[in-house]
Amino acid sequence: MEDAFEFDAIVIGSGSTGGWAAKELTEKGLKTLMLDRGRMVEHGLDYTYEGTPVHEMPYRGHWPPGAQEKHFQQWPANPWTSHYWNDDTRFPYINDPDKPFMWARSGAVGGKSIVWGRQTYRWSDLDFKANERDGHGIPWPVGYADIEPWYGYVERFMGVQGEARGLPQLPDSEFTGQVSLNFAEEHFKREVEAKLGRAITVGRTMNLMEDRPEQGRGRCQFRDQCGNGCSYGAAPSTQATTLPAARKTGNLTLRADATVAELLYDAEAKRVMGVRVIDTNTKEETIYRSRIVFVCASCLGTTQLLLNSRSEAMPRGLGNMHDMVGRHVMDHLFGIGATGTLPGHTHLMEYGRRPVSLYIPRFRNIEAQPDADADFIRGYNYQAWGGGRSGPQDYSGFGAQLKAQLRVPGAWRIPLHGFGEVLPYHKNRAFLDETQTDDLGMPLMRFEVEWGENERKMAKEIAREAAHMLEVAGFVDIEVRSEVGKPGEGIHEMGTARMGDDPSLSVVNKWNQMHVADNVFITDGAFMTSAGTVNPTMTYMAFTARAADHAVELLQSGQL
Amino acid sequence: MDRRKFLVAMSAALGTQMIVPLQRLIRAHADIDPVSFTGGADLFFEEERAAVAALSEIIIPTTDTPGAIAAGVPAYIEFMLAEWYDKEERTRFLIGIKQVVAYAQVTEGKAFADLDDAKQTKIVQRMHDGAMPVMKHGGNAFFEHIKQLTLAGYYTSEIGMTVERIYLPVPGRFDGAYPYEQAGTLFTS
Repeated sequence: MEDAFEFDAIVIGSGSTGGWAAKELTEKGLKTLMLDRGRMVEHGLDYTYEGTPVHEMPYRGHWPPGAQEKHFQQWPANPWTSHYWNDDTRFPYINDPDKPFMWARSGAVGGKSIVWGRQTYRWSDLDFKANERDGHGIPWPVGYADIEPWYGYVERFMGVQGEARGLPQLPDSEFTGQVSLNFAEEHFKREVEAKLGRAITVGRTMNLMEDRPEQGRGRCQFRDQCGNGCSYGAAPSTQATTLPAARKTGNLTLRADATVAELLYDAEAKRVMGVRVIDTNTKEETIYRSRIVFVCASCLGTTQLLLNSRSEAMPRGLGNMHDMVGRHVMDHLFGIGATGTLPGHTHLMEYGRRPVSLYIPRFRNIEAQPDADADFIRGYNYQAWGGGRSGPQDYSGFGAQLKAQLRVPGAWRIPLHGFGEVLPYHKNRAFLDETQTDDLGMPLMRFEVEWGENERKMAKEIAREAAHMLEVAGFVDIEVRSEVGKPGEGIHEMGTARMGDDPSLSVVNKWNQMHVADNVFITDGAFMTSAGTVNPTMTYMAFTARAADHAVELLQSGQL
Repeated sequence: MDRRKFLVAMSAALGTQMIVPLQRLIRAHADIDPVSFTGGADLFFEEERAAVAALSEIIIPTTDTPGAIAAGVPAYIEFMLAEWYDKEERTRFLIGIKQVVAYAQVTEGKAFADLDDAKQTKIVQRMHDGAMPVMKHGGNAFFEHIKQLTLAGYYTSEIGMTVERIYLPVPGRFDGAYPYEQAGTLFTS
């Protein structure tokens, strides 16, 4: 029987969670195949435009004629990063103009781990208990105590910088170093902490602040090249972190350009027996078989795969007997906030470019659910990227005078960007188009996602409070952004194969194991039962490591 | 780029906003180097080319650092107009430069580039003030156009990035309260 399997484990996807699954499973001795639909990107070698200044870029950093067409749905792509993003000409999705949804999709090994924002926060029980408390969605079958050791495990390996604050709503990580605030942020922090009693800190990120020769990684150089590919390995891509660890075991096989089209289900055995793979370039089909499968294809990639895995037993897709796969699409409220100017202090500027800036942890609906003066439930927080001294302001005239004007940076600015928790709505769904397919024959994804009343009320407050805090701190010329971005724009999509105890209301159990297939573990954002307030990636990583540990235990005890 | 395939994909992706490059005339030639701007199409007549160079140098002159000509701005402008602009934008610029060349010939009997600094500056000032005869908006629209191209070309050039400003590819540290007078300009990456 065992001889029928080419591999002990297959990991679908090589982003933040796929990398972690591959690392954990190979280190535990499993012969593992990691598949990614995207092109190969080797650490350092394939970071094509890392550190390329604009004067060395083709077209001075404008898109070369015709080049943007390939990424017409990938709004975060730019000429420095385009080779990491999906080819939308071959693999588009359907974007309904009446209900727009933004799907940022990787096209490279490493997934979005190369380009992500790296902000890293632990959940607390305020998050894990949220559904249970207010009755939205279904309860999480796990709590902070279950995941706490795995947070530490992930943090120690990746390296998380930040400041310990002892906040119950935002548990501290095991920090390695800390990035400092700039002059204006220090000012803002002093004023807001003193006058409003709200905690202000530096954003927490997976950026390595120490040299680790044993991992082949060097500390952050403050270049602002994270998303272009960081060959120092200070930015936490799969390539810099988990992939070398997995390769070191000798147990990893990595195949790029390998699109998993289908999970092959055996209803009698209640297992997935293998995966059907289409070569992204040659379109040649291969079937790989393994004892266990980790699905880490990103929330919406996983959704597409599950829905396309139709069998006689499950004609609507794997695990979708109860119309749970693709439902409850969540993201974070995005695009709302305010920017203010700090008058004076123009004798100071920034030296170096930080990987993160100021952060305002959640302060709303913590003690009471909700606070007496809140007209919404759940919470929000703020990031503040894009601040510092702004660019030169005086572009008037011409000649030597203009040249001199353009040596003077603008005022100190702080842009506050709110991230708000959305609720899991059954009506918000990702599904397959019935007729149209992509270049490999995969049905195109469609979306029906709209935020509700709670989100609208929260968004209003996010904008108002951002402006209020800037005012309190003495900032002027405050510009408020009150229009919520489109769903998906936060690139924190999650919830389409959620975790729960009840198989009729959820897709995976508390170990990220599919209810209908004991040997399949879904550990990307799809398993999220609620969205929480904070950036989710580290939570996915921690659950991945935990699920891998559990899967190997089951294998070793003969239960799988 | 398989254009047909692309359009099929676009029509499948209902409602996706049309992006700017789609509207752009695509003229990329195999022999053009989009970094050095060599091998590009000849867009200007010689007199226009010289006038564009002189205008860019009036806008960003040589001071204690090199000016627009040393930074290669004229070639940048010609390249971007020829290879990156759409037809309408390009035509608007070409009309403007032809008018400047003609104005110099008619009023001074000389090519614009052959006028002395003071006379060139006077013409640029008139465009800046919107006081040029014949030209749309008294020349101000064309002035803003060539000014923006000059600034974009200069501050994205090697000289603009590394001489006029301080190129700092690997800072190695962060200081959020660094004295401006020690830099005296902006940092670039």
